[in-house]
Amino acid sequence: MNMHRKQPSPEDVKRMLRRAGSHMAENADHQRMLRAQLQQRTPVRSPRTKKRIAWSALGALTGVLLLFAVVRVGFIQPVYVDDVYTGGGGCATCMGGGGGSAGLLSADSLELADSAGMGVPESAFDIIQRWVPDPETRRQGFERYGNLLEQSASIALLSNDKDTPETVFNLFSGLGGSVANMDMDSQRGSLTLRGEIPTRSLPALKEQLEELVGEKYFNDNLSATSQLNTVLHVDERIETIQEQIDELNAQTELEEDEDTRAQLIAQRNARQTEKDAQEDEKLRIVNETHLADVHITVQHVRPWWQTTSRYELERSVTGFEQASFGQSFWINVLFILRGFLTFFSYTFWILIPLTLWWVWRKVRWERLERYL
Amino acid sequence: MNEQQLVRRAKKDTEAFLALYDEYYPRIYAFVLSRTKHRERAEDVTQQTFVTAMEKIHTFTWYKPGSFAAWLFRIARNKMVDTARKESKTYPTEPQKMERPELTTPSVEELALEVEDEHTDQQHLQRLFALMEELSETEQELLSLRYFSGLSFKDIAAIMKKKPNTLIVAHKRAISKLQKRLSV
Repeated sequence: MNMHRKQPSPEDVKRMLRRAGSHMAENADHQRMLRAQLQQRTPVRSPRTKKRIAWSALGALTGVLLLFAVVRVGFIQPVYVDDVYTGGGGCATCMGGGGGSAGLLSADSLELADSAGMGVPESAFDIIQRWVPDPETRRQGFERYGNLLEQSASIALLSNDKDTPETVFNLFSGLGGSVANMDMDSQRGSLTLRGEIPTRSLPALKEQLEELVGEKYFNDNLSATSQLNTVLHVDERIETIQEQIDELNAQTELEEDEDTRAQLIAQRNARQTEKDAQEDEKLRIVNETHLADVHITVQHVRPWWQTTSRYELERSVTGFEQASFGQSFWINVLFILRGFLTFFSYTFWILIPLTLWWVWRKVRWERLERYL
Repeated sequence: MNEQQLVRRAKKDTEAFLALYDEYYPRIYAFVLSRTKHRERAEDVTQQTFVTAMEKIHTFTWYKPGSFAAWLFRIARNKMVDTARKESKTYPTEPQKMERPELTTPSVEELALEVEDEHTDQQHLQRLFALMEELSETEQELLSLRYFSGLSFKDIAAIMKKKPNTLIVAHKRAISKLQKRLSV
């Protein structure tokens, strides 16, 4: 036996192994037999595949729904809320702000109050009450603005019920109101109504409207009756003060005459009683016969997920009330999320052709043909 | 049609699967035969491998070239283990007697001449298998996959779950061992 063969190179060994491999791979009979056997079988479509198809269908459905929501939110352009509260005859939501800016006004600038956007009667009234100490100037102020106060009332409502405008109109008519002009949009659920109503009916109107939409969505610019009473009361106080001054002057002159003093007191009491009766009568007549101008606006607020501006979102969530810290936080979160949805709704139109193109490439024609 | 497309179609189409079968049968069979060293057992294992592959191909996900080969060879390995367990025998088993029992070692000169004589070839193979059995299990499997099944080191690494560099080193060492033993 050849014990000392020449050592083969690594390449020789590899060549031997390859040749061995080629010999070993040959088994044509078995290969044919197994091929025939496999040919009788069909590949198994697994439950996993079915599950995957089900999940895909569910995903597609969710996508379509999401898309629908996005398109609804993103493309239906807003919103009438802004129109109502920033335009037109008055700023219903900024009525509270009148008091704040009133601090800049003085007795000499009552006209400014009127011209500087203080068209809201209550603001003017507040200004006079708070910032005009001189009785005479106050009197002039009330004379000037008193008529305005007692003759107008402005009420703003928010509602997500589209039947609310009609209900409001019925309430207004039912309380004896007469409509001067009205713009009712049943589709949008909005109403602008101007008309007159007996002053005595105003509290009832206010109460019923507040009950209709809820405190959160109700805002009244002016309660005409209370304003009127306040005006009368102020007038009365001013007159009483004047009378007291007169009485004191007279008292000084006649202080030694006790009898005269007693008479004066009796006269003063009688005058006071008569005055009270006159004022009561005046108030009664005014309340019963006076017609107050009423301006009612009903604004439809959409549910929060349909809103398209932060302002509208806040109105939808908090109504006329000031948002609390927590509410503001969530409103901001919602607003940002809504912003994303809007963004994707725009990019969606770019993604559609891209997706179609991708599907076109991915789904082969032969597959389509199989189903068509 | 490339392999990836074939695999995708094979999940639904028998003909596509058979195309893969034609491509892989010789490699799988050679690998299994080299490991079992028993023709009938190798045929059984090869058959089980392809039947299982056909049943489970819907679970296979293509992620890179060679991934299908790795998947198929792993099935073959598992089938070999299962068969061995069933028969309560451990691999490697006794080598099957080839048709020509007489063992000789080819000389370098014979190799250089690429002798095609069947008789000599069979002798060389017998000798080679006998020498391979002296290698470790890992080395044997590595050489089988590399030379009998014609796989790349990357594919072998995926099948054996080792790093390609580790296998390259092991391969070099195994060749070197065979080289020395062939010279004796």
